[in-house]
Amino acid sequence: MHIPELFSFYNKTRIISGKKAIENIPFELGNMNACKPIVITDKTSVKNGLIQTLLKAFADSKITIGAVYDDVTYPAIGIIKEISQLFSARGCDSIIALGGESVAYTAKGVNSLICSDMEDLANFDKIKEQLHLKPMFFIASSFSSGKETSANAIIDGRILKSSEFMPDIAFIDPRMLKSPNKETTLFAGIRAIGTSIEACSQLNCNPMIDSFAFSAIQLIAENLFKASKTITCSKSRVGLANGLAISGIVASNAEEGFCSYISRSLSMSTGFSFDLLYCTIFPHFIEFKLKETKSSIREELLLPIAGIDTYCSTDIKERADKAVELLLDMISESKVVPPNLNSLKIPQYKVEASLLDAEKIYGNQFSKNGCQKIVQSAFNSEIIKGGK
Amino acid sequence: MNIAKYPEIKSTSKRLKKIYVAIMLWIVGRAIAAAAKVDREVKEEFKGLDDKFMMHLHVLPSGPGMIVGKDKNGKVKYMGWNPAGKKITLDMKIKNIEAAMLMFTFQESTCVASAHNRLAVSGNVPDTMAFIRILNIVETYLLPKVITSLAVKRYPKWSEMNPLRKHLGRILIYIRTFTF
Repeated sequence: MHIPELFSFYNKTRIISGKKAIENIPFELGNMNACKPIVITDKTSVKNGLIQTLLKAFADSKITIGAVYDDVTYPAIGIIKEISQLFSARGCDSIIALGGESVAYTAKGVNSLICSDMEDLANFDKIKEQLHLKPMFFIASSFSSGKETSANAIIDGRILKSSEFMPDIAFIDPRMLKSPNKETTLFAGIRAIGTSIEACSQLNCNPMIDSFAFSAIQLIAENLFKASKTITCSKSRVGLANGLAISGIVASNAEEGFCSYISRSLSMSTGFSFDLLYCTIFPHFIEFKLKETKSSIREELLLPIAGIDTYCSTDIKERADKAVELLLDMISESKVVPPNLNSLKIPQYKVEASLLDAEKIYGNQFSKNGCQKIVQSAFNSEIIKGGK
Repeated sequence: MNIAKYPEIKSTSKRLKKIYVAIMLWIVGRAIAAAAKVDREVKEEFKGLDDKFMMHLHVLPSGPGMIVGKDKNGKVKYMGWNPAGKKITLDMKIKNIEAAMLMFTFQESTCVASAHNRLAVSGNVPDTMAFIRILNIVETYLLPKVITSLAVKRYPKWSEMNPLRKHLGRILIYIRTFTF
């Protein structure tokens, strides 16, 4: 195992997962000297009855919930300011975010606004080193994508990064993971596997990233298809939610990879979801890595994807190829990932603009020619049998 | 912004569950005191504990609970539920009423509940382990085998607790629990 001469790994988030997990929230709030949380969520969670389940978990706790703000649609500064006012008016002392990444990003924005003298988050970079945030808990729902546990918050299209943004505790309760959306789940799972692989293949990778990424890939690969079905055992959903949460921690400790960068850049210019673009570009990226780069795919990748039996019975030289083959099969099998960017009707000039920016950062790693090859392939080649 | 649109929400009460757990704790507490007089193994376990031993097993944040400890003469007694004025040496907290329900409806054994992080303990670890062993023996006396198997880590073998000892002990413990 490669150990760099000096490395650091930061994980602020504790995961409490399993049956009746959210019933521990009052106890954990008490441990953090908090007694009046504000709940931030969205209409989908209310519609699915998740708020009722959460309120029941507070029964007998003698804790008053300051307010339940359920109007989050998009992490915008206007909504963040509104929630901050509500937080102060009610004398709240902690935040509970229930839902997907929009809710989590909003909660992170609210937390940084109430803990600073800023009127908005324009000068966030100046204060991000001195952030002392209020306790923040995150409850995973079936719309969670794993980015909630990361150190990032994307507010009004602007990326804010601080390790303090990681929630103090992530709760994963099977009751909160009902009614999954098949497409969202599959995109999130494939994207999380991709970002974990990217994290492990970077130069500054360390044993902690390796071990977290291993768990994330294994949990997602084992549970992705079972969990995306409407009628399924809750164990798979809990397994997948754990994998996604761990992938967020991995992503926080690694630099953004080429595939993530170009997907984010395209997402901002085209309005397509980041996960969709990532899943479209990723097969082309991994195929290129396997065939063209010297630091190719690590043979250990096969172990979390295929399991110990396949790993042991495959020749060491063929493990990387086998891992990529299985990964591409998995993406094809999902039947939701488009074969290329052209099928999404993304104009070529937008792709080229993103490529130009990416070349400046990743030119040394993959060479300018390499970056062009990946993007060219992602634009019009068909590696996988495309979905919708 | 209309703040009144987002009202404060006070926590409700789970009265029935609290009553059920309170009754279970009352029975178990009194049964422990009775078992300390009847069963040799329980007697030995208590002998190994400190003279000022007093254990408070309760559900957070506000009960129900039970207190079992040694009195001035070293006798094991059930001391009610109120810890006021008592010097607690071992404080076992069940984190919430739902966790208590899982334990006292025997969906989870004490060991599994500990492994699932449903209990928090302030006090000596050896005392805690001794108490868990006592609890396991008492549950074996109080409950039929089918249910006890769910509540304890390992049901005692024939050689560890023969039927004569078990049934005789059960009768005596039940009589002492519900009479004096």
